[in-house]
Amino acid sequence: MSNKSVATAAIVAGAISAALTMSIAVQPAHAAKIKCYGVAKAGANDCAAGPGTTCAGTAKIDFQSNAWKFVDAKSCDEVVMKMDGKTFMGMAESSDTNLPEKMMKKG
Amino acid sequence: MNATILTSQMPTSRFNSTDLPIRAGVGLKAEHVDDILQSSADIGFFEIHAENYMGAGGMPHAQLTKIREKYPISLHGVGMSIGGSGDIDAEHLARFKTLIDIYNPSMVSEHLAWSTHHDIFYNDLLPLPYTDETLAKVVEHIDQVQSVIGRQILIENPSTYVTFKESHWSEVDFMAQIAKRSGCALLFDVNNVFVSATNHGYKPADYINAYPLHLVKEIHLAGHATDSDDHGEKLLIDAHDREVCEDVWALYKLTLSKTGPTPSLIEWDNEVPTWATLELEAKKADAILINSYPDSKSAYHSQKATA
Amino acid sequence: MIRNSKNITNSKEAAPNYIIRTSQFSSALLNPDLETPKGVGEKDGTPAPKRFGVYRNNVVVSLIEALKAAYPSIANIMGEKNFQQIARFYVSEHPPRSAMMQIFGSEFPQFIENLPPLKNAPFLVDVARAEKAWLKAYHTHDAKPLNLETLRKFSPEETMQLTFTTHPASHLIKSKYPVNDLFDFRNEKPENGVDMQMSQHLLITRPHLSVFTTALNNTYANFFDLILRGETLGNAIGTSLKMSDEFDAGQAISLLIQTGAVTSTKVNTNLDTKVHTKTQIQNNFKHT
Repeated sequence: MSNKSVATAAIVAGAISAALTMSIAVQPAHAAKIKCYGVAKAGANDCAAGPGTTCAGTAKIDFQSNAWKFVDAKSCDEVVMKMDGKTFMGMAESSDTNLPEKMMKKG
Repeated sequence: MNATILTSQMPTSRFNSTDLPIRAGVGLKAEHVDDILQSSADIGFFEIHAENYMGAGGMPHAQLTKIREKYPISLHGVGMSIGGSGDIDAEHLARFKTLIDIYNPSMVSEHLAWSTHHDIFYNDLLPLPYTDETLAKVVEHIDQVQSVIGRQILIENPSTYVTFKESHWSEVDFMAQIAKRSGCALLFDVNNVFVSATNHGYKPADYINAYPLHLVKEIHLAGHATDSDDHGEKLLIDAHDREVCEDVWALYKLTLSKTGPTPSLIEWDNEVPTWATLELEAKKADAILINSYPDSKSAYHSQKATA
Repeated sequence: MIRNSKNITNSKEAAPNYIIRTSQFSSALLNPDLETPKGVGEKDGTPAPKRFGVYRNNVVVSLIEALKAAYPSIANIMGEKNFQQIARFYVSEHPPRSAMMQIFGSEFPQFIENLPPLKNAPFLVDVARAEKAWLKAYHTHDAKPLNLETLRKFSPEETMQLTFTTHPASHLIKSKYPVNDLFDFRNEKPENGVDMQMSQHLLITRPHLSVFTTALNNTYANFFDLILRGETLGNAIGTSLKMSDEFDAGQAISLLIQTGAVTSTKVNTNLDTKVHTKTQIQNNFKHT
């Protein structure tokens, strides 16, 4: 490849010097926002029993038929919505536990 | 086998070996660690579920290291599948040993249950029939664990919801046999006794009276939930989701009257409460423990001082 | 195994041997359509589906909960019931092979990708990949990130040839979708929704104990991509400058250090200083 590098030793060394003078709080505009989430709940083994005699584990399942078809194309269309010519996702409904029922009626 | 002598020979741990103090301990939850350390909580020991510390690094190990610097710990495995029909997972056992080498726990325990079959891990403590065949299997597995980690383990009596028609040992005799044949000690879960006794229609006190309590080195206490069986009869679920109930406190006192003062753990794994609530529950157990000393409080305080 | 057990249980007296017992028991755990094993239940061995159901529920619900704890953003995006259904399916198709719950669910991103009902929500795959990387970063072994001062000791010529060792927690998720904003669903629903036309890239790092997520635009994501692939600093900066006028090399290096994405650096003696063309960069992104 014949592309000439646009970076020179001076530019790279200069960038390191610049980085050294930057406050730790400085973040490149429009480039990054650093976030930190708390302690992971995931991956906890315990020796307790769960929910007793009635729930998901004992429900009959048939993944090949209609039993779970409400998770269909509509569900994600419903979550993704258009506003001002742009497609938005989420809004209040996205984690509304009633949403699946709404989908089921439509589906 | 003397656990104390063996652990003192382990050079890899940065922590000193101690016996579990004869006090109440609490099952460690990640969300409580800051409160515990900030308040320098007055707790006898913390019990950890081994599997939660089998990751390579990060927050779980950083938290446990800080806890271990201040408290004795008890290592409680929930996934070894001691009661499985297949082989013990050698990789899992190696990870278990590594944890013991690093943190040097005062006690190491596992369950009379299985959780793995044909390489699938079911994430539950599943029941086994009590037969000569399963007895031999369980003893073989305990032997293997004890010889790999180089120390004695405690085996816990289970909460169960079903029984097997082929069982020809009683659970009490089965527990006595595995201890006798493998040299393991026992972890006595009083709530499990109450749950299983209710579910299978026998008296918990009868179970306690028949149990080889001289082999018990640690006691577990927990709350349970109430459900119903196929006939609408009461079926208790070992949910660890609330306070210890009065019946179980009473059975705890009965147990201590026979075992003498024994390290006791509060388990609360679901609907985990605030640290303050959990600490109160431990204080309750501590108060009962004090009274179980023949020579009451002086012995308790000397224990506490050496802890 | 199950077929054998039938023969044995049909013969009147003999209970199945223990291997068969555990096989019957475990098959029935994950499949509620199977009858509960004979001889397991009440005291006389009378089958008791509700009692056996406690074990079914323990297994299935605890695994669904474990999956939800690993993929909270996905769960919040699709809503509780959708997630329950998909997780239930996942649990039967990919039950854990290890007692370490912290690695359960590692096939979930691929599972979502291949699930026909989710074909029109391809953004979920990127979110799942990000959540998987986040959890891996959380548990991976500790490593000390590179200190900015270390870079000072190299001559300007050497800085051109510096390559970096990727921190074990570092992972760059490149996406056509707003993967950072979607990842945020684990915390709270975004008040103003998420602009689905926007492309974001997510850098996941763990400089000490806490996991950091850093949203990157194309230019900076490309810079990190090159660095994490072992390209020299000179190449990474050169390519990024070529890609966009807004690229600030000083800020990129500052970010590289702040995020703790790399652990060490050395001068690369291989002097092939190629600069990636824009087309190559775009191809790189297409592959993800």
